[in-house]
Amino acid sequence: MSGWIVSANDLAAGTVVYCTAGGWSGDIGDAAVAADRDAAKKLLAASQPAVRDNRVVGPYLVEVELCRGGPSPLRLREQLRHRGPSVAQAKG
Amino acid sequence: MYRYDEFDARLVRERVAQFRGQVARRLSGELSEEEFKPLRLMNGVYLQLHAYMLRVAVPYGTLSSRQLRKLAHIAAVYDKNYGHFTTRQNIQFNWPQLRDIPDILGELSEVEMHAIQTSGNCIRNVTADPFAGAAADEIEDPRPICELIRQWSTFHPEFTFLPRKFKIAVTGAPHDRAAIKVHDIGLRMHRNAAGAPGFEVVVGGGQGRTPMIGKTIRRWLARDEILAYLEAIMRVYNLHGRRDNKYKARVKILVHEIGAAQFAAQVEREYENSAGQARKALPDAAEIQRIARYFAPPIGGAEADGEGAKKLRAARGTDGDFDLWCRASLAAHKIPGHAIVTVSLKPAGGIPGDATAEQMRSVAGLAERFSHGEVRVSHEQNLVLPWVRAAEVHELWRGLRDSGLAAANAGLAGDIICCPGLDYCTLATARSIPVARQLSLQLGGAKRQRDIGGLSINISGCINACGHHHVGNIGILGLEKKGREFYQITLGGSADENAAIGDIVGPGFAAEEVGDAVDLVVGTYLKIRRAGETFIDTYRRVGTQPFKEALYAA
Repeated sequence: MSGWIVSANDLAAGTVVYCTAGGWSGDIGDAAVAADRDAAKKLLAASQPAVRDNRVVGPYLVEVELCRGGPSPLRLREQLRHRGPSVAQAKG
Repeated sequence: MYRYDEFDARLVRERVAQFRGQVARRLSGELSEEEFKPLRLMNGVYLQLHAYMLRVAVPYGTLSSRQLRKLAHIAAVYDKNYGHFTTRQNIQFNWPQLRDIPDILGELSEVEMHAIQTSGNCIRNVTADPFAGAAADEIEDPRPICELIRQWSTFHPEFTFLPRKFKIAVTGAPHDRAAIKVHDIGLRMHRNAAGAPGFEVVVGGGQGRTPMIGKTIRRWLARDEILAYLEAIMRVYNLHGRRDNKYKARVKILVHEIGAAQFAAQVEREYENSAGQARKALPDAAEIQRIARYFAPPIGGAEADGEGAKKLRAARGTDGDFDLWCRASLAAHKIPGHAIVTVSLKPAGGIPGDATAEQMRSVAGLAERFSHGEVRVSHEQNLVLPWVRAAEVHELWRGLRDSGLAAANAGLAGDIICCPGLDYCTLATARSIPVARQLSLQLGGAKRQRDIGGLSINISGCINACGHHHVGNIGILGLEKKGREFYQITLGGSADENAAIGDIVGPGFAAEEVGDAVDLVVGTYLKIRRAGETFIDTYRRVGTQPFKEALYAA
């Protein structure tokens, strides 16, 4: 089963965040899921106050598959945003 | 090295204070993202997939050990303990927080660094031969001219809002290590019939979605006319460059559409009309000399060390690993008994161009011990120590090896040039780093790479070509097709004085097929090469056909 969630970047930190029922979270498992396109539009509209309140930058819809572990993005780009770079960073 | 004067220092300090205020207003909501974005881009701040990214300028690729230590400090304190050296001789930090960036810029200003001209539609940070000032084949050190261009272009009111970004590269040697023919303007120093050094002016080169080799519009231009002539080029571009379509806004499109001869005629007319005789003489020879003094070599001919070469030969004769590394890493120096040392940032299985804070500190320390405190960044995403005594190369190598920086692959197949790709970049369509890592592992050790010979492999994660795939001997372009990554291979590209855009060899490959495809290309070359040929020599002799047959035989 697929659906939509809303993602953005945190304004001050730049980190990836997801729109939840009550605010924003860095955990995709907390994301509010819209089951159809109309609900997705409403979810995106509901995220706009956070832009005006200087909490997040550039919210947009992400198509996801609903798995037991929570929503999982369909596109590679969003999978990478969710999981982080697929390559181990240089170690210090 | 160049040292800031009072104007430089004030200008950078003021810019930091200005940006601090802009960030505060953005965080408080006084500025919207739409208003803030062009301001942050003018200070090298991008918003990427996972976080903000800060691109710091390394003008003409020259760094002091003190500056490199500061970069290490920024990596450790404000980022995730590493930085990424780019194909434009800059460094990028992938994880800074917006609220910290004014402090980072403040710290950079303490060591005469900044992020100006690393983004936006301006004249970008000028790039140069990473061996400048030290190379045996050089006519003159191009960096005094680069510094003049930096001073002239920084905040130039006429060229701050160009149709698109604008890149200038300069070389002072006949062997082009600055890829000048794929820049908006490339300047190649050579002597005229009277023996005077000046510049060939090449315009309209570039990569991206419309790759082009630049066209010569002036065979020879006196050094002291350079700024007025550049100004004339910029004016013609600013007047005619398209602002209605970003894909047609680069100067290469203008040169292509009106033709190099017509473009040259317009530049010459503008130069004659607006420059005037007085302007042509700027900057005067005294000013050029004043700037040139900052770039005086830290060693003179008197320090030529005849014994050093003997010591180096002896060490190479007794240590096979060291000898292999020397073959790849050392370049001929203008002062006998010295060597230019390339420090490869391409360990097998590593991320091309990445260096940890500890590695940066280590290179800074080694530069202080062995290279008069000077380091360069190359467009191949490596570091260079330009002033090393031949007698001390062995000791330097041991220090590099202890820091995991002794990969013996500079200029060889493992020296893969690679953009951050979809692992970091919002523009990317496919990942590039995993492909680079896989290839670097499968291409084998130093001996096999030595056997393969000089071979450049360049990987870009999208058509914008930050990995310079168009000019790789083997170029790999990552794209997305029906939700899956696939990779187009080009052959025969070259970034040197014989610059060429690679030819697309055929249909693309799935991610899991790229390794085998590159193996087939390299294997085919090894089968058909003649004695003494490098990959590009063989390719130019035989063309794409044998490689196509190998790749698509089934």
